[in-house]
Amino acid sequence: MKIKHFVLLSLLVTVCSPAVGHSYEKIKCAGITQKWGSNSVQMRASGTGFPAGPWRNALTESINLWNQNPSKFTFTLSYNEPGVGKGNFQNEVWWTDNLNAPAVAYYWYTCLTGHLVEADVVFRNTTPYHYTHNKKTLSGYGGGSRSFQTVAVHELGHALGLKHVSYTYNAMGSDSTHMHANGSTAYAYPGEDASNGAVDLYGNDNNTNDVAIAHWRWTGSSGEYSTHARTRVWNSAGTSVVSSFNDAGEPRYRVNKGQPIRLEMSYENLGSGCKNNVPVKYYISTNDLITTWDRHIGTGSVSVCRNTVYTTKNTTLTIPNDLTSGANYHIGAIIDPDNAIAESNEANNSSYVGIRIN
Amino acid sequence: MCNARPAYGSPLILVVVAWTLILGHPGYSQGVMREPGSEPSLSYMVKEAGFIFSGTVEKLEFRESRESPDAPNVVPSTYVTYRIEYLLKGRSAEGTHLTLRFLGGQASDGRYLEVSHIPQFQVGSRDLLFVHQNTAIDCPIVDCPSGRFRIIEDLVYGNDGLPVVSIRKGHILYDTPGTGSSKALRHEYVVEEINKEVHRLYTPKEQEGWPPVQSFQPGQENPSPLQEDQSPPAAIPPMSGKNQTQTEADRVEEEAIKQNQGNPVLREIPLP
Repeated sequence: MKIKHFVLLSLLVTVCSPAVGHSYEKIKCAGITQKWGSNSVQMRASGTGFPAGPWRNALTESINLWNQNPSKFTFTLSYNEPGVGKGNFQNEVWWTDNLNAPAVAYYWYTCLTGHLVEADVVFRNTTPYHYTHNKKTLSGYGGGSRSFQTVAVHELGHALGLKHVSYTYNAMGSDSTHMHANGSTAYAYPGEDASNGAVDLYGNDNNTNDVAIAHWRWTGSSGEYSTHARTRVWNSAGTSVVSSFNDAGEPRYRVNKGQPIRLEMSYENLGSGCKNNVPVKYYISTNDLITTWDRHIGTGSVSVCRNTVYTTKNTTLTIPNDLTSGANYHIGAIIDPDNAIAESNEANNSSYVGIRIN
Repeated sequence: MCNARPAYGSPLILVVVAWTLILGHPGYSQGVMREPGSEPSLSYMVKEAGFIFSGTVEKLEFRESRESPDAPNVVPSTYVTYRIEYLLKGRSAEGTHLTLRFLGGQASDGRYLEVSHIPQFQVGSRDLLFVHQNTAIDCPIVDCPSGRFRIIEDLVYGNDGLPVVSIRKGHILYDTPGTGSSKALRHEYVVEEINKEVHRLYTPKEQEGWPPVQSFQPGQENPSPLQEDQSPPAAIPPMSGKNQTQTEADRVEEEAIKQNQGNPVLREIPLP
């Protein structure tokens, strides 16, 4: 929300993304990459599992999320498929209770000629899925439901030709903690590394601009899957994380008035080409919805190429002196705060970290 | 739905050339440890597994599911036969060998089926496996594929080739590729740690009572459950998004960003 004055209390920060390589893994057989022969692939949703209504809408949303990626690849989606199953040369999506995983992608390929020829995505209907964007309902934010859309984006990534990734913040890793959130809502997305993989497989459309900020970061691996945790608030030297507590499923950091801190966030380029020196503005807000109406406390810039997600704590900010002791606030960041870049998705440009004033 | 089935070359050639070359390098022998807590607990894996062993793959066979009126499309599975070298939990009904069935592999028309979470195998490779429900499910290892570790030159790697660098506070920790100097743990050390955990969790009497694990026999597979096309979960109401402490200014801001299609760059600042 708006706080009366725009007081710039922090120093300017310029951070640049290191030129690190990708992490995505392509489906390979005998060393040969397996991909679709066409850049447009039709998925068919079961009529039983996806009748008109919220589940169909959620699947459509997941398909559209992939179609915003900067590659030439697109999914199309048809509905009311009457008979679905593995091995029938059609790409289908359905629900079953007969899976020992929340969802599975079955993909068929030719191996030596390098072609994917069928991909089916199956969801287990005994998993507590939800199609909502209400973050408090979702497991990544302390809720009890698994986001259908994050799982669908992950499985559709397999259908496109990507495998699991454990090395970086990635939708092809632990999907339930790969979301973009601002305010009370959270949304799934393919993310920078998987989008990069799609471009590698199917070419760059050279027509997509999208920069983004996330409050999630890579922490390690669980088997083939990357694991993620929330970005943090560090001391001014960047040597230790300030103390925090779990506040209704989300971390909240204890800070002092006037304390210099370092804010850690993940910056992504989900578009066709590098974006250099993109401005980022930092704000203090009384709620978790970060907008340009909030109190501006710092400015920086990032340069992001579409390679590996850039998580950095190199942003030094100062907690304003006039905040209320014992009150909760949020430190937020908005990338491209002047709308200088015409983006395919402007809604992923801000996110937050919770704080409480000592 | 259609059932046409074009051919994709000689299955025999593809078996020899492709399946033995699938999967590559053990990878990354250098690195730093990742943050603990996200990796599976050893205790959990030992409890979930009915059978734990390390051994060498001696034979791979592809077999297709039986066709049935309810399952007209056949689906290939891979039968992986291990020679057991170290037995850490349970008993094998066949003594020195155990055959596991994994969904996926080469079909008779030459196509390959791969399943997103199911690992692939090659003859001669050594693995440490936490086996779970061998005859019942499509991937009979604990938290598929987490319960499969690869042993290369007596060092232990995860299914994805990342070195297992520590078993600390009951968790199996993997390496971060290319950023440090940690080396994979030796197989003997990991075996010892698993043995300790088995003996910590189970009394000798309990261990004697474990039923022998059966190999998966050809013909034992069910017809592919192709027609399990079911309804979605019943929708439960989402939690209320309304914050009890939401002020009028919060509501105005929320409405403004909604009107702005989620774009946080709001042009007009409302008057107080």
